[in-house]
Amino acid sequence: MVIIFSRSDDGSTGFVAEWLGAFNKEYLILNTNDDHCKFIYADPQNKEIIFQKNGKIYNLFDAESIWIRRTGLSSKSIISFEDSDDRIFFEDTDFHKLHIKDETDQLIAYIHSTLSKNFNKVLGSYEHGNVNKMIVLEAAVNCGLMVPRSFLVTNKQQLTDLLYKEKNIITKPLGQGIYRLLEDIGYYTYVDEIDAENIDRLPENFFPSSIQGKIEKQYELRVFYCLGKFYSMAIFSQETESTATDFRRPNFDAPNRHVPCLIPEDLELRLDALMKDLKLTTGSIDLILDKNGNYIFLEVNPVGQFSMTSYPCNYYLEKKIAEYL
Amino acid sequence: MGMERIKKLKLKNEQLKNLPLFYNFIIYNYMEHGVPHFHFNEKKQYYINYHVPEKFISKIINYDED
Repeated sequence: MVIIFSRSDDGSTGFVAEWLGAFNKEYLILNTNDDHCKFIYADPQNKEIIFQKNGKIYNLFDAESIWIRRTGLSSKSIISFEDSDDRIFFEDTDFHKLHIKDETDQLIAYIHSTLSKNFNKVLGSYEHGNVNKMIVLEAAVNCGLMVPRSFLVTNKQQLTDLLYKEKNIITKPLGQGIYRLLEDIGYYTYVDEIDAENIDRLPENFFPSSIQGKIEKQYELRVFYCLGKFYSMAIFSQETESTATDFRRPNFDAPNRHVPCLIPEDLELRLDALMKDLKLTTGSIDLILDKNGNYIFLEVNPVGQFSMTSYPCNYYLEKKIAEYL
Repeated sequence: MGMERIKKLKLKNEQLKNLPLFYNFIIYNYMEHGVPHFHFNEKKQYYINYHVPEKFISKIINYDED
């Protein structure tokens, strides 16, 4: 059996499950954001972590491999707060809910930790799956990769000074951006240049924000890394004005060209060293080839959507993952 | 069709005081060409993401009409 920790809105999970079905491999999918699976019991010394799904009992230790695509577990698979649970202590906060949330997180961390240690075939990581962009950039420099100059600012004056010094600047989240799909509306973060006009409209002070010098590019690269292998795709985002700074703002009438490509061997060695340093077995790496022919490392997303690389480039990544599992 | 489908989220200056700068760069759309529906396939035990197609590929046949 293969255990997949995922989310219901992760398209890649369904595609990999299709291949697992084609290979006649049994699988169990646990989703962070649904309540189909319930935690029942654990006796780790006797190799038992028991979940119930659709009336059927599963011992997660019976699996042969695990794919940690997302957390896969949440309070939904452990408890459900009712209205009557509001404020059990005599104070105006939800202290006990936060406390139980922490207790739930401890349980989830333990399940992931003990399962990951028990199997030889583990793709993805719960512990290392949520990366900090600033920490990753420091690690990338230590692995010999070129990165954009990065800063943290808290007010307009600092931003104005940086714009003068760097000429072109952008801002990014330190962790994950906004990607929120509701019933009929979707919200997404995109990257755009900050210019003097933007700065003018800002409040005097703001939440600490990550700023990078903007790199003028020939083209972008999205590289899917899986167990030491690289699957690279060039994105000619410079050809369209709307995608010049961030390819996630597509012009549907003139989509960017997505082309399979190879990256230099020495770059692969450095990226491999970085992924090993970050303890990541899989991830989507963003690079830019600048106007001087330098490969600039931007970030790695351990849970990035790899189907966007797989399909245009005919890499069959979903099949390769299913074969490994 | 094109970029007009995507809109920039506008936030009040008061809100921006407590938000990082990347909140100035959030876009949204109403998914006018098809709200994604995540359908849980009971047999296969995974979600399938259905999109309503932008163009109808066949007309609806009303079998009640002769």
